[in-house]
Amino acid sequence: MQSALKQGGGRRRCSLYLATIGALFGAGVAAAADTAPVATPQNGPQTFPNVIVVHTPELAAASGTAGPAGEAPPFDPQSGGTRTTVDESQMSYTVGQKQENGQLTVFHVVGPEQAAKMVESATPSASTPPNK
Amino acid sequence: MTADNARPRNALRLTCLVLAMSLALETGQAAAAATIVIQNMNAAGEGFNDPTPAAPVGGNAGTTLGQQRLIALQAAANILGAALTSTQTIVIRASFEPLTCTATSAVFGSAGAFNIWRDFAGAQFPNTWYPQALANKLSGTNLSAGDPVNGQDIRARFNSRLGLFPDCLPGLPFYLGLDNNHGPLPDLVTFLLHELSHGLGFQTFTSASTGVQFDGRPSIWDYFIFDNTTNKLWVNMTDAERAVSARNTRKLVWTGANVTNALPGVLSLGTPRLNISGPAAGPAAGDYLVGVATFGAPLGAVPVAGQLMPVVDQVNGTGLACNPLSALNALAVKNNIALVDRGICTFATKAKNVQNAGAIGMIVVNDFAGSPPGGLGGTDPNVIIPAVEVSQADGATLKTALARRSRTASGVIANLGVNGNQFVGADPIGRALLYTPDPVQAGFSVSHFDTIAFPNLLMEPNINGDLLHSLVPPADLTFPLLQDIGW
Repeated sequence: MQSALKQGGGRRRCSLYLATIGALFGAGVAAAADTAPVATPQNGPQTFPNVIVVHTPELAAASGTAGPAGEAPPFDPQSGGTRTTVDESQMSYTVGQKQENGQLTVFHVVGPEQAAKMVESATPSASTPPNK
Repeated sequence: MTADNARPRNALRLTCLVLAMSLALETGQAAAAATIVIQNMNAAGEGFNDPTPAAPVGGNAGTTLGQQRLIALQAAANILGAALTSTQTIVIRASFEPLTCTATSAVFGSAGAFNIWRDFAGAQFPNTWYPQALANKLSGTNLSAGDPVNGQDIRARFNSRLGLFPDCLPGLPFYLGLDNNHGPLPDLVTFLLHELSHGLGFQTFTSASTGVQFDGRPSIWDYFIFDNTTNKLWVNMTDAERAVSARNTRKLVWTGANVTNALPGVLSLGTPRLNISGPAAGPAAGDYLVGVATFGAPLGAVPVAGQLMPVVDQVNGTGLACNPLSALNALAVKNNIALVDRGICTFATKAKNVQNAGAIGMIVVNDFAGSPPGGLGGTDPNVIIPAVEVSQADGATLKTALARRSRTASGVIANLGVNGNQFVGADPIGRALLYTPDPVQAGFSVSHFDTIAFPNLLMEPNINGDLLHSLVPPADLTFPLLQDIGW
């Protein structure tokens, strides 16, 4: 099975894989890891009960950036729902600024333009009490 | 196998793995809260895989920079996973990569929902946008199953150069410990909790600047935000009404029952208050929004009360109080509350000068438009009087009321204190305030709790150094809000 998974892709194998994993289950995530040679969970030196880590650099190309808002929302017949991808302007950005007194002010803006503006202008956060 | 066809195949394999894990977890961990899958997007040797040796810190046992970054993300995700409930895995696609930097400022990272859904089975409201992770939970199914691009619920990027290079906030790297003992460094776990909470639904997709709904439809968030002036929910407003509401300072509240019920156990009583009264107050009588000082006496339940008297030491009629007061100004403020203008010198210097002249309190008028008034920063242990700031507009109202004063009396009485019956960060009936500065601050407004909240909350627009690694009461109101929208 390992060799089949390694040498071929396809939905049929995926189904087989899922069925196998499902059958094995009860033994927990460790069992899944043992039977998943391609994308093994990589929780590292510390593990956390609610978290699984997988190493997926190959998905970087598939992820891209969020597309234009409202573009051709796909309809999902199973749920009846409609999906759209939100654009980068809806992403929350954290920006840090070093103040005159050396202290760091950390705050949040939405969208890359606002974040870049904050970095370039080093405008202090409105919510941070100034000294004068 | 070529590189070109390897990518989709690997993506499919990964999707299989995630699906398998979801199945496994749904079968084997029915009692678990929610499982979060972190997809490490970095290539070998980069970001989460950076092999630079690192000494374990604050409970983070990683021995390389990459390991420690990943463990911090795991720790934050675990906190979220413990609070949330869902039969569906929540997928965070994450990477450390170079982001915008200067020597004094930097983007730490970004995160947010990748997809939003409407009209799926299980949606509480029709024609309404939900972030994908919440839509998955409510529908009881993975709405983007098998799709390597859209399978990500939250996309997150973090700055790999922060604090490590001269042009990227040198000396201020992320604190990677898990114990919150971050000192002056930005605490990565706290930052992650904030950003990932946005990705889970702590935001509206409706524009605060224009009031325009995303793709002409409301966000689930919009059903819970209520304007105390118009007595309308955002979902029932026009675009123009929402645009006004978004800058209706300290009048926009969260109406969800979970937040409202939890709030008394999280926030403190005692909202700072300036009340103006007296025979000469006229239309200036009433309560004012104030920003409090980090120095001097804190405002207390027993107000400091006195006649309000302005300092005038500039040719244009304003008063900066940056130098010891003249005899006339000293006579005016003695045993009274001094009204001074912002500018030139520190707030603490102004306070010390009016205090030395006998003032029992100080009100600073902001020198630029906007609301709410900011706080007064600075330190001076010699200042013992209370001090607050009011907005420029409110300052103008007060100055008008003082126009007919004598040299020693104005007939305008200022009471500086707190409203002991009102929670700090809530309206008079106990609903959490959302941050609605005027003018609107794109990116800050509406999708955060108000900055006045005390103790500080995770989802204020700025990260305060005293936050705990918690989303739940009694430490925080983030999880109750997520519960209100369906988590």
